[in-house]
Amino acid sequence: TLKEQEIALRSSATLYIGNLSYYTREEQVYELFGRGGDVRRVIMGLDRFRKTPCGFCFVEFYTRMDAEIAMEALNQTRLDERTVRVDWDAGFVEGRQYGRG
Amino acid sequence: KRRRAPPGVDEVQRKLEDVISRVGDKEDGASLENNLEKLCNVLDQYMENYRSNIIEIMAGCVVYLPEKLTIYSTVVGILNARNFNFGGEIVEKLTQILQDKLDSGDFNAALNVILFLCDLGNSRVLTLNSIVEFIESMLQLVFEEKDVPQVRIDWLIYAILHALPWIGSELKEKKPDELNNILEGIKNYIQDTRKREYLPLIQVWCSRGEVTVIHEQEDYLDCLWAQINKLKEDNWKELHIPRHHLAFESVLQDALQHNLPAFSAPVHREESQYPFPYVVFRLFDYADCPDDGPVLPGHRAIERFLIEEEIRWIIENNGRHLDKKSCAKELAQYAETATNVPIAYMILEVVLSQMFKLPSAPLPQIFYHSLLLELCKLLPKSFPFALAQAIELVYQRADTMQPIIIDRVVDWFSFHLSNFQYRWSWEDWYGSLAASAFDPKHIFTKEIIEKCLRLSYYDRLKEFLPDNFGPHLPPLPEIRYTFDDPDNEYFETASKFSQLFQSKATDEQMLEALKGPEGDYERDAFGIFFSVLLKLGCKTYSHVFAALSRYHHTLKTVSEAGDELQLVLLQALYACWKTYPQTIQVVVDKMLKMQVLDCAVVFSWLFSADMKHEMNRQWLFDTMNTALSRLSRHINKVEGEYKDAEREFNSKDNRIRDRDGDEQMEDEELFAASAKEAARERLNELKEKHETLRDFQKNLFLDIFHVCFKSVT
Repeated sequence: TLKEQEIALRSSATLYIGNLSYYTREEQVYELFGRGGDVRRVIMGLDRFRKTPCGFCFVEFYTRMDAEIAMEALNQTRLDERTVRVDWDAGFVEGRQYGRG
Repeated sequence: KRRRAPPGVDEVQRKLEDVISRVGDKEDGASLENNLEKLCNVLDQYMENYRSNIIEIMAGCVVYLPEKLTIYSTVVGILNARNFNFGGEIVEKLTQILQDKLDSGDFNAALNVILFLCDLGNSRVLTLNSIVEFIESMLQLVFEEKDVPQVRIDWLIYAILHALPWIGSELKEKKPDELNNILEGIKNYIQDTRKREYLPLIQVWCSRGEVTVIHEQEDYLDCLWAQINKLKEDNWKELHIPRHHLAFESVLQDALQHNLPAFSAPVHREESQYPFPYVVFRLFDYADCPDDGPVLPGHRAIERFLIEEEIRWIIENNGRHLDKKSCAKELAQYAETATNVPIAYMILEVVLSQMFKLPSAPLPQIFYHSLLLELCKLLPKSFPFALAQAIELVYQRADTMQPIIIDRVVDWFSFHLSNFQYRWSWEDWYGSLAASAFDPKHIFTKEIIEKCLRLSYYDRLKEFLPDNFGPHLPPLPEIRYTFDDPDNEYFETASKFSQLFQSKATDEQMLEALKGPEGDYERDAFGIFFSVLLKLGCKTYSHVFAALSRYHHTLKTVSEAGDELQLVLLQALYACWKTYPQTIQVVVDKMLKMQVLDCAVVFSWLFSADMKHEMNRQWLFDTMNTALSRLSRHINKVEGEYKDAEREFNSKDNRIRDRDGDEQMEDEELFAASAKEAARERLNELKEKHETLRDFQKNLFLDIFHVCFKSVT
């Protein structure tokens, strides 16, 4: 429900990163977002059919605090010459890495 | 009470908040005196019904808008002249807030209140006598309190010195003897009693051999003391504080005044935290700023201090919410009003002073990094220029900089460049690449290139660096894996493991394959197993992590069999990824978390003879620092849980005691007793865990000192 979604967002330690270049690799995301805090994992968004990166990813932190630091500091900064958009995400669920299918 | 108020109270409250907090924002073009007068008239209308709201809002402005301090002290002065009781009530409220802020350890807010109260002496709300007594009561504590940490006493001295620019002139005129006594007392403390052994540890720059620092890294109280002495020499005349009360002299002079109660110190407890000492960070001289602009106040000028404090407050106040946008916006607004100093240089110097603070910065590094980006956007005419100059000065002075600060600069500037297409006058740094590998400038340039590579990719690096940097480019980051060469002596073993991985062998099968004829785990086999794993997972970190967690049991079982087997893992990792230290860092961190590796083993490996040639590399120290900070975090978390459990246990204790003598509650009592027992068990468990971790950490520090000491001797 909408309310559950809201609660999940407020306690989440996962960020959605949009407007990435298709060529941006996982290591770069680790390097940039690792500067906000302790990254548990990065999940690259993939094209549903070609299984290639398609411009977004999820970054999961160990703590909410670290995610907040990264969110505030890194939103609207650049990675691979593109201004990335950082948003809260309710938490990664298998299958959500496939976009644009 | 408020709930019963007539409807519309919220609107009035909001209106009052608005007019009070915005006064002095200079939007309508009218003179400030006019605006203050207008505000006082508005407040007068509401005084009867909304007095407590007004006091509440005004007090909030005193605490959180210190840049408008003298505006509010003047307003309170005018209102007090019209309405004696109002003055008394707001002083009472502020005294209460001061006490609360001190008790809760919010020393920045407490300081704002103290400054304001002292300035109320200028606007004739408080008697000068009582202000002198207030300051004297603070000073008395300095000499009376025994067995308290120096930082507690330091803060009292700092607060008094900080208040003197506001009230010094008035004291000099009307209470010269008392003022001299106060200064004499401070002098005794600063010159005779105070210790400064920690100073070299927190200095950003230190002279090395022949190279002396350009700016002395002075202790903050010593510097402020010198600035106050200079102010005294200048007859307490300063150029920064706007004295709005002067325009209302005729209204204020006949006002009835109140007495400020003596200062009462917060109780000192073992766990009380006080502000850390720091050094005054200086990067710029007046000669570094543009010739055609305003002049930078000198090192000893009180104006330098006052402006820096206002900038610092803006950063810290916004930093609490990590809000880079509002922070940059407020700083840019502040810059607009401060036209008589090279404000971009001063803001930048303060941001860097916070970023370079030792042992650690008040806010996350990345906050400052992104704040600087915002400031470049909001102050495009002055800020990027000052910033480029700053980085050039830092480069020039790298050889006197503490290594950890060079690391911080590297992290910041690589991020900064990645936001500006890596455009930089790289050519200027070319010379450092030819210097020895341990030359600080060489390390500076090399590590910035390395971090730029991590944020971009190899071909991009080749694009933005000048052609002559070619020979100095870092090696192509790729896995070095040699076991797929049939001539390699371990080719067979590697193929065997490769097949096991591909056939998705179980942990048991893997462990069997790692055993030698004697039944113990073979080092060579383990190293090859791990290299194959890294090779199979070399595409992305997700691949490596998946492989690590798939064979977690195997890795943990073998590495528990001995430190030397953990060392094998580290050596294999290094052999595979020495061209790409980021991977080493990430994988080590992961394996520490998976408890496959032990901190102590990682450290002795990092500082072993094998790794001596990497001692000039940042990744090595980053790896160490990450591991240490993860451990501290973990300990803090357990400590928090332990304290919670303790509190819970104690509260259960009280509840049982409260019921003594009440016989009807037997069942519940039994229940409470068993709950108490459970709480006690949990408490003991956590206590033990906490102690074990603390001991572990202590030994680890000793180990690190030991290995570091060994590697430099």
